[in-house]
Amino acid sequence: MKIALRVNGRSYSTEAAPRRLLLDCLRDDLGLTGTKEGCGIGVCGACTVLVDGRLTSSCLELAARCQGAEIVTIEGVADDHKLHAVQQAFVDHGGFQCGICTPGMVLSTKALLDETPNPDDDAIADWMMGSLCRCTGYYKIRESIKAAAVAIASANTAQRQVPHE
Amino acid sequence: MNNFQLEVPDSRAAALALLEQHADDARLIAGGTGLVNLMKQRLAFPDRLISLHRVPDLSGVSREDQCIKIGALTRLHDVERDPIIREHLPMLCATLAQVASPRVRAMATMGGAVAHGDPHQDTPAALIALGASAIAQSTADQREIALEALYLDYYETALKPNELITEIRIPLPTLPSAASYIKFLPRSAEDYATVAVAVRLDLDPQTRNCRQCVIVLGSLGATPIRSHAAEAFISGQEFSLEGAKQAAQRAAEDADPMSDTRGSAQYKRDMTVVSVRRALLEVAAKLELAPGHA
Repeated sequence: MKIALRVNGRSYSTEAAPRRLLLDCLRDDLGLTGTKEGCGIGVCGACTVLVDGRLTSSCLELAARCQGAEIVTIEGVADDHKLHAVQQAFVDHGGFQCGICTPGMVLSTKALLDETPNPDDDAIADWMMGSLCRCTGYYKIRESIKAAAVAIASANTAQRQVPHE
Repeated sequence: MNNFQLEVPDSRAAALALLEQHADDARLIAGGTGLVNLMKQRLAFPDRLISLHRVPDLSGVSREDQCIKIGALTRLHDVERDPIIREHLPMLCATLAQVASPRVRAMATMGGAVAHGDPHQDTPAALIALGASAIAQSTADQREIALEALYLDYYETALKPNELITEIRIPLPTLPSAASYIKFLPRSAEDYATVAVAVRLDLDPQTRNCRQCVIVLGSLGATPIRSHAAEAFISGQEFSLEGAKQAAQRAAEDADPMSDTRGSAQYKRDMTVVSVRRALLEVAAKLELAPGHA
């Protein structure tokens, strides 16, 4: 069947069977290989994308069911050539080691901060428990998330202080 | 995963018509977290999937008199965060907060959680303790099924092949009441429960004696198990530590656990005793009954 997807603000069209997983469609049909496959059963979080802003395991979702939705993958998080505040925080605070879990970690963090702008340690641990890092870099990931929250909050404050014309 | 035909109805009537037409070889898919995993493991291989993601008016939480209504396509995450649920059904919030991970809860739906029929899942046991029911609709009919009567065997429910769950209904307590869900997880946080216990206790408002106690076991058999025999040690009398201990022992006799990677059957039975006692003492504490220490 023909599958038309909106990914990172761009329209794509591809031919695939209804059983095509969103994960495989993104990686193999659209060439967006930033989304990784880990466990394949929705536990590890490596394949996390946002579908209409909602956290989604792309290994458990059918591409055909995402037609008409706005999908955001790791490729769509940065604004042109400037990293998103969450990405920058992960770089600055060493929130990654091998990097396989990082796309999912960044998107999970983005979804967390969209809903809870100033999460405490417990809220971070609760939210991120579905994102596994086998390098065991959780401490620095948590520091990165807290730094991202601060960066986004101060950017928002700065924006509010710009006088209206 | 096998090849299948994908149907995407855009109305409830169209979904029901498709279900009626293809009842024997079709499966409904809502959030997909349960079914896609079963299909990936080749435990399910339907010829046709009827996806409900375009069907409108099946989402949301509302209160009508003494009844909370949850649309079948409401995501678990949205139920957990809903202000009505937070205010009136804190035990359901606490249960949902323990289901898998926030990402799975963002995908999975309430109707799916009820219809899937996996006895290891958290939501059914909690809902049975709360006295919930499901509205099952077909092209010609609509009926209300008490969740207590819904589960027949592993992944087998009393739903007919042409029926769709449209709504979950939970009555609000009219008596002083408290409920608890205990999920015993010796491994990782997103795991299925090794032992799960859902308890609700209603009090007589005058005497503060136990009017009715409901004890439901999860992950301990082919379906959620309600232990009427254990409840009899609590219902109709003053709450006591001794009663809670006896109820816990009796509940463990009703459990039918299997030895698996989460522990031996005997271990699960022993932890059932501990978990039921804890759940009962927890509801007693919420109701400010003072039964002494465990």
